[in-house]
Amino acid sequence: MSATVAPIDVTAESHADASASARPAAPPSFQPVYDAQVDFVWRSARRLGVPEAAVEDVVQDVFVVVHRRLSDYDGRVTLKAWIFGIVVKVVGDHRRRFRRKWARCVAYDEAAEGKVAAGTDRGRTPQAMAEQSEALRLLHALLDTLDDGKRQVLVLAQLEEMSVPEIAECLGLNVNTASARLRAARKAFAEAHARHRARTEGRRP
Amino acid sequence: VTEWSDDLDALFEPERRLGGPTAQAKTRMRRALSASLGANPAAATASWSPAAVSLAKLTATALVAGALATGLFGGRLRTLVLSPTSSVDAPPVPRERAPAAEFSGAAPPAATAAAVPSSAVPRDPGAPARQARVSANAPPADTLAAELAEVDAIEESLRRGDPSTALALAGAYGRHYPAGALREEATGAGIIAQCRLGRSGAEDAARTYARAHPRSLLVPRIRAACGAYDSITDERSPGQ
Repeated sequence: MSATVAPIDVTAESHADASASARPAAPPSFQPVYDAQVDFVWRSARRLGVPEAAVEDVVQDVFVVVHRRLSDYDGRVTLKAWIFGIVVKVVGDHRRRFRRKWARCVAYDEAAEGKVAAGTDRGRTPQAMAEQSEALRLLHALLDTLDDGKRQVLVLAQLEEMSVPEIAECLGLNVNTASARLRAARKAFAEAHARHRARTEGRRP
Repeated sequence: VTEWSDDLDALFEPERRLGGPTAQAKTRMRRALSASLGANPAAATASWSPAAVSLAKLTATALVAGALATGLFGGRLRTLVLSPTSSVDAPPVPRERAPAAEFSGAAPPAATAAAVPSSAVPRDPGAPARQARVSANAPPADTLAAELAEVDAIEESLRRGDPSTALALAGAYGRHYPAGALREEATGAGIIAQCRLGRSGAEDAARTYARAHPRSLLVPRIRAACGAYDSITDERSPGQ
């Protein structure tokens, strides 16, 4: 066991970045945490199904909570895992409060599609961008068919490319539960995709 | 049978390449958050540079609002109130601290106060007048220092994750200083403690507090702690 006290890596991407033996002497200060994690929080909010129009509100509420609770952060899980737990709670809270408002939005609207395509693929042909927009729209529609728990594990596994132990840490699950939930999520996603294909192929002449 | 396949994996690829929000969205979010945490119009429009929220602006706000010290910005205001030699033109806190302090009010409050020792603050010709204005609004410094110590203890308990002690200390403050200068802060911290303890009636207390102190810099923290953010915020009068 090391007795050294390591500063918190505010950009910590993986479990290995914050070992249990490296407890911080003091909590990290807020701004570096904000700067390092705002992209992750924004992405996660979208991927957990927050409509484009509400993403910035969710990001703000997440960081209000982060700000308030940062002094409680003890380094036992990575900062990213700790923050993802907050994102999940805030998204759930917003979903309950704004259920009807959210129902009027599609999680992934046309305007967002254009912005994302333009932002990520400068220099691509219009056709390639249209194809990518369609792919993004389909992905979000399929994710929308999953329940919250399955959606969370799938987002972390497929998009944040986390291992099962990392997912378990993010969601406060044991590893076996996280693993079972990921299998169930992949199955549900594959089934939703199969239904989608059956529908679209059935419509073709 | 539906199996996971490379085709399904490929569906995630465009989203996986997505980085973060646009620069404009980032600027909007920083401003909104700064405003929310600071509950201060200056913070809403200023950049996060150390000089962005000057002591002068904070002092004016504090005098108008009658909030001599708050959880937010507490360190800087305490410097002003407790150090007779301080001037409102005291230099900004050191660069590495300042952005966090603006955001947060934050970081360990004592550190900010310590970062601007009164001996290091240059006097200027306007200082005595401003000092007089401050003292006209403030209770004697020794009383205030004692009150501050109690409020600090409440905040420290909250930071430590010990809302029971925080609540007990907030009650004690109310008994010691029924008309204390910092009762707004002590009451607000006590409500945060009640919410963290899940006490019945805590949300009502939060709402009542937001109505009574719509300008309090503690309202965003109470809002965050008490969960029912919207209903609490909605109680704030328009224009807040």
